[in-house]
Amino acid sequence: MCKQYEEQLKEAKVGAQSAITNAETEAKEIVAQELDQARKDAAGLVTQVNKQLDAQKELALKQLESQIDELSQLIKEKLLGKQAIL
Amino acid sequence: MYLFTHINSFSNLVAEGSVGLNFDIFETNLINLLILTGGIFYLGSNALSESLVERQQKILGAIQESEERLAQATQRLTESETQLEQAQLVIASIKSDAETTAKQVKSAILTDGKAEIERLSTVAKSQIGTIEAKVRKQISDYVVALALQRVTLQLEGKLGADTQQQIIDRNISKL
Repeated sequence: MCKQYEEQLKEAKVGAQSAITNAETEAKEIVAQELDQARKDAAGLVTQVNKQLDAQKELALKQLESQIDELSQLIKEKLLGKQAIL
Repeated sequence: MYLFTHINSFSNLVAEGSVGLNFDIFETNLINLLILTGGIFYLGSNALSESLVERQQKILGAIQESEERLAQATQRLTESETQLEQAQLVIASIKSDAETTAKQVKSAILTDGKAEIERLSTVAKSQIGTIEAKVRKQISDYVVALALQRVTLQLEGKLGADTQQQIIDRNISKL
């Protein structure tokens, strides 16, 4: 009977360790999946932002084209003075 | 049937007078028989008594031994039941501890994972900020360079030595 108790105790210990291992494995799998997804999301976001910034940069450069003349004028004024320009 | 036949024959012999009781003490050796019986009884009673006492003691011993065995068995049963209860308590405790530990382990791993995901998010945001700043600087540098290039083209060959000197003097005076 004592042997039977020891066997039950042994089974309980094995079951307990198995439950802990299963929980650990399950949690690691969940984390691995979420991390993988987060990495993909982050990489996708960075790529998307890069594309958007490139497009915005092109647009900004076109829009600033008209302001370059004004900037040139300002530079000349600073360099030569308003009277000299006029 | 056989016995009945003999009894019947014996009855016939008694009735005929062939068989009967002899009451002569000396003829029948009644005294010898009484002495012999007495001797046997006297001598045998002690041995029989001792044998019976011995047998009684054996039986009592066996009963006592059986009772002791019963008591031991009962005690062992009680001990076994106690051990069973303790073992069941220990098993329940082990299961409960295992569930708690499993929950803690899972929670800790998930918390670490969440922190790692937040760190990834922060890194991505920082990376995006850096790219934005870089693009702003590129635009700014480009615009300034283009404006300076246009000014240079416009002023090229138009500035005499006197004008250049005036510009230098004015800029020095501003320092």
